[in-house]
Amino acid sequence: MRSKNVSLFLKNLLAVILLTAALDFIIGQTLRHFYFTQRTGLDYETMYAMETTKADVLIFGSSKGSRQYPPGIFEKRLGLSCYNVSREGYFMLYHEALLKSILKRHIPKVIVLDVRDNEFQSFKDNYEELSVLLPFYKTHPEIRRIVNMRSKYEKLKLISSIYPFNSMMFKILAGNTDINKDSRTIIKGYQRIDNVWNKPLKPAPAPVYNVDSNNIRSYKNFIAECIDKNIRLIIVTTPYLNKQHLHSADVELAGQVAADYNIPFLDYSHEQSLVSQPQLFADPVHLNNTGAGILSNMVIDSLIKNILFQKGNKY
Amino acid sequence: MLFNSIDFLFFFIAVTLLYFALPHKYRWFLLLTASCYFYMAFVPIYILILGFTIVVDYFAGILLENEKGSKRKMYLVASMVANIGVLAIFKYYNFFNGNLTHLLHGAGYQNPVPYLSILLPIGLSFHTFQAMSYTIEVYRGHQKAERHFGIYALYVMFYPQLVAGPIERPQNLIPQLYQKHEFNYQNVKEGLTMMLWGLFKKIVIADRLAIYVNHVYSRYDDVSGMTLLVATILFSFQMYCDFSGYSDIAIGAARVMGFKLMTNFRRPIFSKSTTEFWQRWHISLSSWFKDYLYFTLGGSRVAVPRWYLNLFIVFVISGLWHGANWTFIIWGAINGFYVIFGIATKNIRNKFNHLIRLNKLPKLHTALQILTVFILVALVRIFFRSPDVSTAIKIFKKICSFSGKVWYSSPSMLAFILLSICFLLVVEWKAEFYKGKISFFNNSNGFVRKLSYATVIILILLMGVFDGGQFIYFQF
Repeated sequence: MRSKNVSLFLKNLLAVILLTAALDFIIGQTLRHFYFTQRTGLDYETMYAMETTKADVLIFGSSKGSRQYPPGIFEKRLGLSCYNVSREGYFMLYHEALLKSILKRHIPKVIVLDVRDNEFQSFKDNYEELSVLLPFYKTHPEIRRIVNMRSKYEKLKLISSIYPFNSMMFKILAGNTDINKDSRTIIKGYQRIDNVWNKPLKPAPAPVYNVDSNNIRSYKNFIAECIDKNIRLIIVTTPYLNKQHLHSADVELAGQVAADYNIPFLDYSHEQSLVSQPQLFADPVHLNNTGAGILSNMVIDSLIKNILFQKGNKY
Repeated sequence: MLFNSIDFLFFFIAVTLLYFALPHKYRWFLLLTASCYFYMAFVPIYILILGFTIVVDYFAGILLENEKGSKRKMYLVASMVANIGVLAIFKYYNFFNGNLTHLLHGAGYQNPVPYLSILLPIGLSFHTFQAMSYTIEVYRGHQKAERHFGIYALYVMFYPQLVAGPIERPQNLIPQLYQKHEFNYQNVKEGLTMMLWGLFKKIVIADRLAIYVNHVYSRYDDVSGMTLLVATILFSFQMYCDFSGYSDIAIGAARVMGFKLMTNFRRPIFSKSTTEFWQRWHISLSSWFKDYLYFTLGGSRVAVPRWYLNLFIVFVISGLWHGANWTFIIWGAINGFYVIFGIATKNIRNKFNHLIRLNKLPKLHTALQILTVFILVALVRIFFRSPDVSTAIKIFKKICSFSGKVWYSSPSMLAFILLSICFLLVVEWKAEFYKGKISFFNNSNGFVRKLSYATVIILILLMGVFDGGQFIYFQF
């Protein structure tokens, strides 16, 4: 009786596993196909950055990166093509993985890396949000070390063809049907924001947090990769309207590491011409389009002065 | 070790295989060792606290059975003091000390009693209540004292229900720990189905809704009243799927090995009164309070005012059981008020329904009852979800303004939320009103059955939140 029970169970279990595997493969491949045919949305921006862009100047960063550096200004003043590969909510681990993927097929002349004041914060979301790289895991072996940091069973989960596209089906649908095409103004990766901050600032102390050594390692790797490929790198920290939120320790650390590698580090976190003017901000953290223009010109001035037109430098 | 983790999947497979492979006489030892490992995966040192209560209650049970007269009462009290003492130190000490500080400060004094810097052991209230039910049942003569220390320890520590219930009774679980459970296809199938559906509820529905609810509640000052209302309603679904999902996995994991744990939820979404709600929600706790507190206070066999007071006391203590915070006490008190109000106004409401002829439209009447109970229960959960009373009141006031538009971060988020709630309601609706009429997991066609399992797994892969956090009720 017992062996009959066991064999019946194993037979049915095997059938369910095979059926699940077949459905997983069919649905996973369908999602993969439509993921890579997207033409709008943030995933499309990541895909374009990883697999297509050949711009001379690339801008890396999180939301501060994507909203504060209009590529048009860089193109006009430097006479070089420019693309903003920043992505809102994504930090140093993502930047390193993205850089590695881009460098596999294209070496830009200049990279601007926007570093947040809490870039090295130990934050669970930093790992969870690497899920946007899962669709590239199969075809981009260079990002696997970083993606595997998500969890100790990441490799096991990636046996599934659906898993890399988990929670993406509606985004894929939107990306293929232009549903959200006009929801944000994205120009070459730059998210233009025109509104002006006019609300009072709430006093709030900067939260205390721990530093994640993986973030520092990624920051160092990012710099080392650029040096190795002879890319002109400039690192920027941008202002906050509410300076109470500023984590000076991370800014100092980022500056110190940059100095160790002899990389220019522009600390605009206290830049008076910006922090004293709320009309240049869209919110306490991000500059609006006007502020972004002023900041970008400052960065370009520094680029021209310190890197591009120094004796012996050619681009 | 969380039920929604891959670690647990490996653990479950290994323990279950070993369980059926081992001779019956060694199985209790396997389950006890596995349960210790399961518990120690959270904070290892806290197993000593569990060990303390197990030792105390084990000997208390034997002494209670051996003694007669007033000494029995003394042993029961000693056992209760030990159990409640552990709860008081680890769960309530800082809360009461904080309130003492406020009181003394108001009177112009400093509180000399120091605060303790300790973490609450996971699931403390659950296994403490399970241990207490044992000594009470032995005292009442409903249960023989357990002489086998390993079996008694396993009764308290049985891993499927160790950290978040169902809170078992000795009469149900202890005899099953002695029974020899053969591999039974039906049990394994039913158990795995429950586990799969529990996992679906947790990672597809609860953790998806948690993203929205956590975002809104952490920014309650900046979001609109309508957004808070939506988040509050979604929190009700989240809480249900989180906790009942856990219970389903717990009951299912036990069922695979042949154990039948008590039902903990019976579709509370469809409750037609607040009294009925508590007969369907967290049944193992509600029945614990009914058996050991409500009846001890006199239950309903007393004068009406005293009956209402008994109900109110039970609900306030139930609130305190959930957490050492005034928010939980108020949550319990309002739920108590709901139940008392419901009983006290039953006749008047029936007369009113006759007057407006609502009784002639039973389906509409039922729908209105269900909706009313759902809204009442959801609104009081503002206290359950808020970190303190003042925040809860602010949120409540903001909701009452019905101001602003409903926030959502993306159409994708909205679609996932709506889809996940639709899944839940369809399945629950079918189970409540069309039981046995349409069946997927028990369909006569074998392919439909297998396809049903495969579909649930595919939906988990497609829509599940794989990095979701731990279960809400773990904190209790």
